[in-house]
Order: sequence, then structure tokens, then C-alpha cells
Amino acid sequence: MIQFEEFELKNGLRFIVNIDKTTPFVAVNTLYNVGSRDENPEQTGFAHLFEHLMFGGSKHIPSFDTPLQKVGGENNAFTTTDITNYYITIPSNNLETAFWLESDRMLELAFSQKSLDVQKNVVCEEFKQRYLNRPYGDLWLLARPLAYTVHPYQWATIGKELSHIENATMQDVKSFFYSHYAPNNAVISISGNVSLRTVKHLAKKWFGDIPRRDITPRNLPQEPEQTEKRTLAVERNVPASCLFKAFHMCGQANQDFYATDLISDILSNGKSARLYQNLVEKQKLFSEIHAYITGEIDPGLFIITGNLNPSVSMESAEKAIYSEIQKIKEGFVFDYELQKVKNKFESSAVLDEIDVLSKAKTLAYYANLGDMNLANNRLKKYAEVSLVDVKRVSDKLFDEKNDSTVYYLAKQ
Amino acid sequence: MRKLRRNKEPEYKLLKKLSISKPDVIFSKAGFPMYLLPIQDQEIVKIDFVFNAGDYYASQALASLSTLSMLQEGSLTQTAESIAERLDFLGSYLSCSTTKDKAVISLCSLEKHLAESVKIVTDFILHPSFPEDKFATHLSKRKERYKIDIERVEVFSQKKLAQVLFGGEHPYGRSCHIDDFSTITRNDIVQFHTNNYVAENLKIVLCGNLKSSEVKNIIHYLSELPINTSNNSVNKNEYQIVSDSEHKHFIEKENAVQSSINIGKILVNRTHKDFVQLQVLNTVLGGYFGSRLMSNVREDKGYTYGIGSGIISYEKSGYFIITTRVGKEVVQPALDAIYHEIKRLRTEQIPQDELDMVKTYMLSTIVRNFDGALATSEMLRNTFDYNIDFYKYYQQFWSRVKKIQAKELQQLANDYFNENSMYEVVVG
Repeated sequence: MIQFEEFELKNGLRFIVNIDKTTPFVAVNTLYNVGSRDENPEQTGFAHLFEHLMFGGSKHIPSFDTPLQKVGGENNAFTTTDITNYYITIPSNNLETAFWLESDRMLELAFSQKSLDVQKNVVCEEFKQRYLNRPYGDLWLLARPLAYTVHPYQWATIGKELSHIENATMQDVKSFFYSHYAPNNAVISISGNVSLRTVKHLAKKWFGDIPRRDITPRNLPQEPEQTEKRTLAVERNVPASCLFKAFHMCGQANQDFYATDLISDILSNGKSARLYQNLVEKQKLFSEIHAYITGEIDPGLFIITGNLNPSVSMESAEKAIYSEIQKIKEGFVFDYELQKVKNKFESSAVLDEIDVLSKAKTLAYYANLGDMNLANNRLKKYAEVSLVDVKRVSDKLFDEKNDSTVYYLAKQ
Repeated sequence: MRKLRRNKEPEYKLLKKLSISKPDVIFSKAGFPMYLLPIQDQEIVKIDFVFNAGDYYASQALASLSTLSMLQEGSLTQTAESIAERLDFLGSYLSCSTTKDKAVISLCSLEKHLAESVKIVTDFILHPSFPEDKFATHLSKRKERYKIDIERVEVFSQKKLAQVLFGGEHPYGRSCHIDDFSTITRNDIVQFHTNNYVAENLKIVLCGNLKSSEVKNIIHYLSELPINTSNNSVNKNEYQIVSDSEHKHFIEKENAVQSSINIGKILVNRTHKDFVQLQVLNTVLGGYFGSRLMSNVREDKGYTYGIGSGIISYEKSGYFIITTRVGKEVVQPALDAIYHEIKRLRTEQIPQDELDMVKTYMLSTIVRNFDGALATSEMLRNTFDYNIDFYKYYQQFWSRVKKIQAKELQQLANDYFNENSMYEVVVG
């Protein structure tokens, strides 16, 4: 259970505060409601490139990292399809330094040409390192455009191609900033050894005078229902062939989200899970296999992916996966099994509440989602999932018409 | 209201002291120590079983890892399936990992399921059955993973650097080869288990609410754990470090769009008098986000997504490593920039501002590393390889970092970090 208090400044910036006196630190998590789904299809990878630029100096402060390091702070950030999230942990005495730094880059960036040029290079190297120069690195680059025809989840956060990043101009950067980075499009969560009074005081002092901005309204094309199975076969220089399946699932706000997540756990959470026991240990078709959900805000994907053992055919591997999901569709799931995945969720939720940073991240995430209480009620939502739900949801989910499959074949 | 001065940093305070919660230590009947660290307000318990059963104690590359991974594949009274099924049902997390020196079995469990979880785990640690069929599956899975790992340029080049520095016969330089999967036998791991998973080689670390009766009962149970004592003396093999005669190694990799660069040399380990000072020097060079290597190679030139350096401390030795991946076309300028930064440590005194920042960064990192029982337990485990007093060691570490001067660091750089003493591996 994470206790929290909320307040909002006049400019629309929301704060969520959790007091934790067991630590000398405090975590400050700033979430902007912008992700790669908000990008122009001709300028993909921009939200993430922008995350890099947020460290290149702001209006009054030439460097973000140096003054933070000087007072014992640490920070990082990540971008997803839905959000851009910045976080700092700092000795709680120096909370004000975090507010000073975060508020200045919310106010305005330095927009330095040198920083843009360098970060374009850095991001291109990141693209190569994570997606091009590692075995199976381009799987997601292939799978997203296969599964999505119109929704912007069809490209990965890193972007569709290197050229989109290489062509970014300062004008693009400025317009992205003013249409997405604003107090009324952000949430700041704080967890640690602080008082609510101090946080309120500092929030008003540093963020109070940042003006509201006009945020480009989000009007994303919704993905139409898929009507037939899609497949893509590629050949790559990898040691083992890989089978990758994506099924469209519901979005975060849908009540079936929890059942969908638990279905992925029944299939793949832990060594006792079905796919591992049946397809790796017993039938020895795969050397490893996983099922998971992307868990995105808009309708995301349910993934099943595995590496085939040598001399196993794609056909028999796929057949075996179909037979496992068929069992779930037919209701061949035990009460005991459902209880097992609920128990696992319970202990992982307890573990997540141990450190201030993960608490702050959770709070900001649900505040942005629009249902703050989910930060704690999730457990109940998972506990309420029944076998009937599992059957109903899996029946819709695991429809062959809803299946997008990449056959990632090892070159002989 | 006064106008906000945004270009002036707010007042700040530096951390004044390091507080470390000292673990209680008790000894079991079999003679191994148990370190107990209190967790407040959470019903989670974490237990680490730490054995001196890493690669260093094995005569072949796969023995240590295979033995550890195979423990949960069956005991005299439980099948692999029932172990997995039960632990998952209890919501308990089991993780097994090896370092060059240690094999660690970690169990994380809610208090209410602690007793049953611990009994399952201690049963397979003490009485594994190592079933043949499970062993075959294990090897085939591992082999597939190995084939993928070795395709990753960064994995391949780090293995290569270790081999260049220590020599392929030394356990710190040896790495597994595809043929090893067909030569290792069940008997090898049975033997490795018998010799190394013994009371003399074990330390237990427990984090939890020490006042709860569930936890107290488990401490009592563990203190009576009937683990064998060694019937022969622990492996006393001494190995010679034989560094390669060639300092520079280049391995071509077709179709690579990036090259992996690893530069390093043999260095002292944690027990050496210069270790803390060397850590400071390493931090300046490549040990944090604002380091010289990051500032130069990433933030100024944009050659890479990341670059860093570190000192790897093993029980019997240690080494220094700089690691990065850069675009294929900028390998030479990146190498030049790296050597330039190494040289600058020797030829120029570190400016006071920079040194102050590095010290603050390190001191707050140390405090961070002791924030809570789980973090503290990892720091405690770091000292298990050496006969050192955990509490005293880190208090000294802290005060040495505080006191260090630029002049000493420059001298140290000249003693240890000559560019010509470095070894270089480039793959791509």
C-alpha cells in the first residue's frame, strides 16, 4: 500500500507525494504525457531524441548533470510509446536542487545547435547498438508495422529509420517542445524523506510561474480490428530461428487488461509456467520461450516468442504454440493455476514498494493514466479475475485472425 | 515576492557521515556464519546462500554454472517440476548466479510463505539428484544461448580481453567454448557439488523482519542445517597470470555496423592499499555519467551511445577495463580520444572543482549503497571474497575518498595507468 497526497498548481502541474522516513534519499519523477505515439509518421524517433536533448542545458542552466552530481544526485530517463519519464534520486536535504533543475528545463530549453548535432549522432549509435548490431535486434522494427496498419504504435520508440533522426532540425525541436512540454501536460511524483509542506512550498516557488501551454490535442487513428492472419518471413544471420507472434489486446483502461496480463503469466511467468514446461522441457521444441504483454495505454500487443531448437521446423513450433493457446481458450485452466499467478503478482507488488524510486514511478504512471487509485487497487483488480474471465478474454485474444507472426529464420 | 534567481543554484548540504547498519552474525552448528539484516515495515524476506563455488574452483569452464543451475532440477525427494510449481505457487522468487569466485542462490519470499520456501531450497542445495535427462536439456538450452551470446560483439570482445590479460588457462581468463558442452558429464557436476557445496564454503545473508516469529523460526532452522563439512581440503590451486605478448588485438566481424572496443590491464583487487584511490581515479576517467570519457567521446564527439570504465575486483586478482561500442568509421578517432584521456590523468593534475564533484558523487553513491537492508546485503557480499571487516572497510573507504588529493592521484596515475601498459581488443 503506497500512501500518497495530491495537489495541483494553477498552471495545471500535478504533484503526488509519498512520505518515506526510512531513507535519507528522495526520488523525484517527472512524467511528460508524450511518447512516440504522438510523433509525425515522417519524423519518428523524435520523442526519444528529445529526451536526450533535455540534458543539453536549459534556459538558465548550461548543464543538467553537473550541478546535480555536485550535490549527490543521480538521474536518468526513458521514453516509451506513451510517455517520456525523467527521474532523479537525491539526498533529501538537497531536494531543492532537483526542483531548480527540473523546473528550468520545463520552462525552456537552451536549444543548442551543438547539443542537437551531437545527440543526433548519439541516438544513431544507440539505434545501431540496440536494433541493428545485435542478434534479433530488429524483431520489433519488423513486428510493429506488421501488427499495426494505422495506429502510431506501428513504429518503435527509437524510430522507423536512421534518416528520421538525422534529418531533425532545430525548428522541429522547438515546435515539439512547445506543443508537448508544459506544466499542464506533466505529473511530478515524489517519494522519500520529505514533508508535504516543503514539497508544496518548493513546487510553488520553482514551478508556479511556468506558463500553461497549448498542447496539441491527441487525436490518434485507432487501429481497426484485424481480419486475417498476417505473416512476414525474413532470413537473418542468427544462430537459431525465432518465432514471434503478436495478438492485439485491450488497452490499459479496459477491465479485461488484468485477465490478459494473467493469461500471459499462466503461459510464461516462472519455471512452472505452461510454455516452458511443455515446449522447452517436455517437447524440447524451443530453447527458450516467453509470453508477455506490452501493457501500453492504447490497445497493445500480447506477445509469444521463442527460439527454436536446431532441426525443429517452424511449422511444428507454431503448431505447438497453437495447441497451448487452444487449451486456454477451451477453459483448460485450473483454479490452482490462476491462484498461483495471482500470488506471484502479490509478492512482486510488495517488492516494488521497497524503494522510493519505484514507488515514485508507479505513482506518476497511474496519475498520468487518470486513475490514481490504481496504484494500490491493482492488486484487487488482479485478485478479482475469474476462470470465466480467462476463458472469455483468451477466446477473443487468441483468434487466428488476430495473429501477426514474424518467422525469423536463421540463414543456413 | 522576490524575483526567482533561476541562474543561481539553491543552497545544498553535503552528506556528512556514512551510517551502516551492522549485521548480527551468528554461527550455525555446522560452523558457517549467518549475517542478519533487519527490514522494517515490509513482510518480504530475502536469503542469499553464498558458496565459494565459482569458476575459480572448477577445472573446466562449465562446471560451476552447470552445478548451480542444476540444483533446482530435482532432489532426492522432489522433482524439478514440483520444485518449480511449489515455489511459483508460493510467489517466491529464486535466482541463481555465479561470479568468477562465488555461486549464489537467492530466495525472495513473503513472510507467510517463508518456511515452506526455505525448506524446498535447502533440500535441493543439500541433496540434489542431478537427473541425466534434465542435465541434457540444460546443456542444450545453454548451448543455444551461448551461440547467441557469442554473436554479440560486446560479449565476445570482453571475453577476449579477459583471455588476453589473464591467459586462457587461468580461470579468470578462461571462457567457455562450444565443445565444452559435449565434454562435461553428470559426474563432473556431482563431484563439483560434493567438493564445493560444503559448510566451510558457505555464508548466509538474511534480510527480513528479525522480530517476527516466522523469521526467527527460519533462523533457527538454518542454524541447524545439516550440511556436510569438507572431507578434503578446499581447492588450493594457484594459477599463473600469463598476459598475451601482443598488446593490440583486432578481430574482423563481417557486416558489423559498430565496433566494440575494450581496453584494460591487470590491476590490484579490493584488499590492496591503493584500491580506494584507484577507484577515485577510475570514476574521474569513466566511472559516472559526467566522466571524462563520457564527456569527450559521447557528449562532445557523439561517437557512441555510452562509454565507461571500471575496476573488476576478484578474490585473487583484479583488472581495469574501459568498454564502448562506436560506429565502425570512427574507431581510430575514438581510440585516440580514449588514450588522450588516460594520458591526461598522468600529465595534468585534476582540477579541484572536478575532484570535488567526483568525491561528492562517490560519497553519495556509498550512502545510497547502504540505503536499506537489501542494498546493504549486496555491499556485505562484496566483501566476502576477502578477509576484511565489512564495517571497518567501508568506513575507511568513505574517509579515504574524503581525504584524497589531486597530487596523489596524479602520482597514482603514473604508477598504474600508463597508456603503454594497456591492452586493447577491437571487434567489428
